[in-house]
Amino acid sequence: MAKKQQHYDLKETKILFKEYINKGTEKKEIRLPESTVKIDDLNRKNVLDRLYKLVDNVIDKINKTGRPSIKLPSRSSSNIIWDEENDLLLLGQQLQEKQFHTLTSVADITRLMRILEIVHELLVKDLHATKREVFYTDVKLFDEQKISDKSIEDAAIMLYTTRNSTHIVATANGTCIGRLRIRDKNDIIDLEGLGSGGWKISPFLDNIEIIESDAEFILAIEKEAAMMRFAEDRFWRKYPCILLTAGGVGDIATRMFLKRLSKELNLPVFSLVDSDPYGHYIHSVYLRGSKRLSYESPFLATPNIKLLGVLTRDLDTYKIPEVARLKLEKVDVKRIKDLLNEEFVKRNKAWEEDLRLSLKMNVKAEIQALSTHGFEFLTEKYLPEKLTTGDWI
Amino acid sequence: MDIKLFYKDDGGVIQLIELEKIKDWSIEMPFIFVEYIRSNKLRSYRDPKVEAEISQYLNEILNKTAIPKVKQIFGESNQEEILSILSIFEELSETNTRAVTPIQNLLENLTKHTNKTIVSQARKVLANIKE
Repeated sequence: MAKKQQHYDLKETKILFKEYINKGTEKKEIRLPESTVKIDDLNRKNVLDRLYKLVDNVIDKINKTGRPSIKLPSRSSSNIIWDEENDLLLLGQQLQEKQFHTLTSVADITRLMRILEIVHELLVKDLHATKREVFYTDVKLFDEQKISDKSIEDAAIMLYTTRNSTHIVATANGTCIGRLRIRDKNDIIDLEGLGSGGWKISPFLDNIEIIESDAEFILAIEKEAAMMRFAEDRFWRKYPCILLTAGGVGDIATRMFLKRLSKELNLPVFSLVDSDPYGHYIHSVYLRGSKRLSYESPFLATPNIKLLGVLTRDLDTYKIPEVARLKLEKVDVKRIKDLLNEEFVKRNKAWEEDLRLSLKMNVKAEIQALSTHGFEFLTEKYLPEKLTTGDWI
Repeated sequence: MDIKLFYKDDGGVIQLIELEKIKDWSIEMPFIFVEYIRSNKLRSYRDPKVEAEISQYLNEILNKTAIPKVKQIFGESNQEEILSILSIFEELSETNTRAVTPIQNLLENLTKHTNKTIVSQARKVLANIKE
């Protein structure tokens, strides 16, 4: 006889959704502290305006002093600030000056000017290029891709805009599936109708617009394998949601898309990651951004994302057998200790407790450990139950 | 607000893009959107009240932005532009006739135009609609 499936009402998730929807109708802009750099997500015309103004200033300096220079916000770690109120990593107002005439900065400034030239070409032609393509435009000058990548980030911060606004994009790794319809120029894409593979998140997010959704929450999943389980079960049909994965740490496009979904649709967002420090790190990058791209945090971070699981305490609650649990390695212990020293963890007691529990029990586990109770356990019991009871951090 | 909300009796919420944002779309896109929601989504909401509200909203999109934009161009003296818009709608009418139906009256008016190419082009679109 077929086992009757239990249906969960997702009560706590629905309450959270209603709360966000009500807050959303009286939407307020994030107010960044005065001591931080404000970055704007700009359209093509506005980026070009800023670029022309910057070049005009350089020309002006050449005419007046013969010793031009460019000032831009410093991206050194000493200039990265954690904004407690918005729970974001942001860039402080320390400036660095790059002079055209000194030997130390001449190579740097030449690369920066070349990037500005490329940005100008892309914007004028309304084209996009990947970071890799930009590197290949002048291999001799850039030498290595990490050097051109750094110049690209410097160029964006110099224009006080996001990297995507400069039309230089990174290859996107994410996929998304579920109760969502989007517009990509003149095409309507139904994210429920793309089979089990879903929609590959486009790096050209400025072409994408959210047009319709009846989802009630978003789930950001660490692993492709877990995503496949949800896709195969058509999880979103039973529980109205949008599923998304970057297959590891969220790349820029995936984080930016998640941010847009959560902001425009006012949906609660949950992360499902391995019960290990790397999984917690992945959650933290979605939550408050990465240090390297701290200047873009307001456009990449999803500060209200909840850590749904797999929590250390879940291992006992859901009776995960010893054979499916793993012992922490030295590197895990170090990572957990590093996380415990982070201000955003210290401020979240439940999170801190779960990390300490992991240290105490000397245990970690993958999402797949839940399969010890059957392949459908994740989608039919674990997730719906937690979303119903509100068992998240 | 970028999104318009419709509340279902069962507690669900349908979120649709706001009219203000649609105003920036290409001339044919609002018609494609309205037809898409009518044909593919409306019934799936399974809530007669919400279906009626959304249907009314879709009419609002047509009457406040989509049709007036086409009407304005068809009423102007720039015949090249009229032809360019007609060729867009001709292409659309080949694959998605229902999306073009809301401008049927405007197309019929164009069949009385003094420019024969415009008349012939408008007739082609009308023929696709009536097929």
